[in-house]
Amino acid sequence: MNVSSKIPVDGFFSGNLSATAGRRIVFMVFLVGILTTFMIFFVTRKMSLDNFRVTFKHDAIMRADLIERTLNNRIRDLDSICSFYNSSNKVERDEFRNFTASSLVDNRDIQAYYWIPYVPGPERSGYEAEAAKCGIKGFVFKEKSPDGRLIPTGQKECYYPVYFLEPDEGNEVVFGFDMGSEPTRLKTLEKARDSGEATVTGRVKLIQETEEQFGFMILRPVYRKGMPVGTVGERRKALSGFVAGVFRSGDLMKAAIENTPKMNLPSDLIDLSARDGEKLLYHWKPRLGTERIGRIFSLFYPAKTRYDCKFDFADRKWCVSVTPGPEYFKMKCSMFFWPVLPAGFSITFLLILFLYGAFTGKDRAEKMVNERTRELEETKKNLTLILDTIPERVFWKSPDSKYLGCNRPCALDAGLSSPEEIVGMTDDDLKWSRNAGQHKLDDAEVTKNCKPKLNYEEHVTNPDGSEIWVCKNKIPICDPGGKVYAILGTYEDITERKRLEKVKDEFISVVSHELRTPLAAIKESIAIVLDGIAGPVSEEQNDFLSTGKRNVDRLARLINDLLDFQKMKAGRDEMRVREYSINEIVKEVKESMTVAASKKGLDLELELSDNLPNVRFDRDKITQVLTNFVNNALKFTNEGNVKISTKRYSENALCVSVADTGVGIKHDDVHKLFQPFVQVGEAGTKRGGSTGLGLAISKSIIEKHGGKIWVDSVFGQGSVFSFILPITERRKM
Amino acid sequence: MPRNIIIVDDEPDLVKFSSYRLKYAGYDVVSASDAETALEMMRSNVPDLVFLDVHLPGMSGYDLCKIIKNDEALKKICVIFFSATSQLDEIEQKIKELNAQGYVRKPFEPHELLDAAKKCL
Repeated sequence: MNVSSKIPVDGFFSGNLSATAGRRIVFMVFLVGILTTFMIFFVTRKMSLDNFRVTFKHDAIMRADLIERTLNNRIRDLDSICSFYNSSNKVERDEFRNFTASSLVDNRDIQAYYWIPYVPGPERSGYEAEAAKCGIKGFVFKEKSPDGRLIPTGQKECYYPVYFLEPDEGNEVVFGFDMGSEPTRLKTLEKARDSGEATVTGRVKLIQETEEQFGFMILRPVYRKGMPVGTVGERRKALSGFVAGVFRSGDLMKAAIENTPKMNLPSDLIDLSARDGEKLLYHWKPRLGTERIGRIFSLFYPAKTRYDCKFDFADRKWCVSVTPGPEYFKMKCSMFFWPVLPAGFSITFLLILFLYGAFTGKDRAEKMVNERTRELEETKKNLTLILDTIPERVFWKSPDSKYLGCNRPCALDAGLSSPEEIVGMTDDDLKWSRNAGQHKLDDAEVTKNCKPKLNYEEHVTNPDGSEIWVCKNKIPICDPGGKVYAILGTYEDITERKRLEKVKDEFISVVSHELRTPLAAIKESIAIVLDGIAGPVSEEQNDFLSTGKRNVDRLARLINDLLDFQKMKAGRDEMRVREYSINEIVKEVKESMTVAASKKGLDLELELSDNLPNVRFDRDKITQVLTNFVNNALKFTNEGNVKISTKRYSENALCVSVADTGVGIKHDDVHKLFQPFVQVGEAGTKRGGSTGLGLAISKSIIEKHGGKIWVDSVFGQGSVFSFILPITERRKM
Repeated sequence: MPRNIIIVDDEPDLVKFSSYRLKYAGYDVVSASDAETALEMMRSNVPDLVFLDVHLPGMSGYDLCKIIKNDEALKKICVIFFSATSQLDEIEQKIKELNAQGYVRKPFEPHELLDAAKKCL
């Protein structure tokens, strides 16, 4: 009944957000999403890279350490050759070969071992001759010409020729090369001679080198046995020669890590003590960013990193510079931070999509709700307008007699200024509180029976003493289960109608009195004369007076029938219901009609059922009906008989019939019989003083008793008029 | 032995015919058109039966009946009302209350009047 004007929308988006605010929220979510994604990306990236750097540093140190150790081992090898010299008076070529053989076999990275004697100028020829004697063909002291060819050395103060060389295979070209002919080497020789320590050359292009690799040499001075070497001068005097190890940088590096797991850690070997431009001893080419695939990968790899591991090597400072290669990255660097970006972007995108959908959905829902609300309000307005405009009073109550609402006329009747005020009130609170008890009983009856109570009249006394009449309806409103949840009531003020009815009653009363009284006087006058009370009457006078009497009687009957019918129809005919035996009434009627029957030469018979219960009816009215039946039967029957019978019709009813052997009624006319002012019969047939109201009145009387009236007839053979009266318990009628 | 009857009604025609019928039937009949006159007549000569119209000018038939029935000298008089009403329950109730003897509905047939008189006397 009470239509809510706002329909709540369930769910998260039930707030009143405008579309602009919605867009703003979507934008904010976008920003926050992107920022968060980047933040997570960088944090995870940093964690991952920090972790990587620690691992890398460890691996780099290991790598450098291996190289450093290998280098130190080579120095130790040279030291042992040196010791060999120191412990021998003279080392022959074969002895040198034998001694170095094992070291060369074990360490493939060693290009060669040299024995470089100190040869003062005058001893050159002796050395050259001895070498030739040992089977070295074409042995001369040699040096490099400016155009890079090896040529015999000129006369010099002293020479440092490569005299012994192991292995000689592949190194033959170096035999006899005067190390002192070349400034870098000479400088190193002199430095080694003066320091008495192992000394390393800067990078050199090895004489035997055919590739692009750089090499270096470690020189170890050997002094003559028994000579003092405490000072530089003593060492210069005692110098016998140098043991030298020759190394190709690349081979050495490879050898150093030969037995370690492959890690793809490109490492450069750098001589920090060298001049600029000559520092790089070895450059490990295949490294990150140098190849095509690497370059592409490097886009996704973290910033290039490098670890320099410095160490002292002999008299120089060297450095191993390690950088991670692509495979190393793949192996050691977790790249899980990369998926953070697409994942973050996707989540943001989905979130925005969802929010956008939700907001636009909300907009649509809001629009729809507004539209429906408007429609509902419109409908409600119209309904209220209709309810308030109709003159009929409408109200609705709960089953416990509390008002749920009413229309405006009803509210005004109740003494309220607007219909809303009635909600929650009971009849006790309203103007008609004097009738509240009866109203509650009516409500209870309607609720209990779940049946409407219709068209009943109620006399209402207002507090100011004024009285009104209303005609009321109460209709239960049931749920599908048949439970009453509200009562709809309507009523209209029939005070005016009642007043008019009273006027009409009075009119009828007056008319009946005013018409009947003079008629009675005329009738009685004629009767007195006809009866001869007022003196003898001649035959002729008698004839005219009889005509007058017949017509007066007919007029009186007509008036009586009209008034009766009017009263019946208006329901204002008082019923005087008592308990009677129907057979008694039938007998009385037979008694009164016997004369009339015999006048027409007809037998009036009875066929009464025994043991009929007494029934409740209005004696005069039922007599009127029976008389009417018998009168009709006699009127339309010319020979044969008229029979009145009673019988039990059903458990709850008994039946009274009047059968005749008269003209009967045509089938088409049967339904017209009980209509007022209708007379059935041949056209032109005399009405015989009938008013045409008898059967209509009879029908009303029987229906008022709760019975039924009907006729069975065969045209030309006769008719049976019947009515039934219900057998009712006393209290019900 | 003729019995005394007073007809009290304000309709002269009805009084005339009723008197005529009753006289013809052997009763002594007088009439009055209002209650006061009727009462005077009753006091001077107590009748056996009064036909009393319910609606009379001035005092009503019921009121007159009440006086009759409360008067030691008059209370033996039979009272039969004339009434045109259709409210039969009401009049029967009134008859019981006032201790009257019956009623005749107007308009009546001559035999109804005579039957009522016969019943009382």
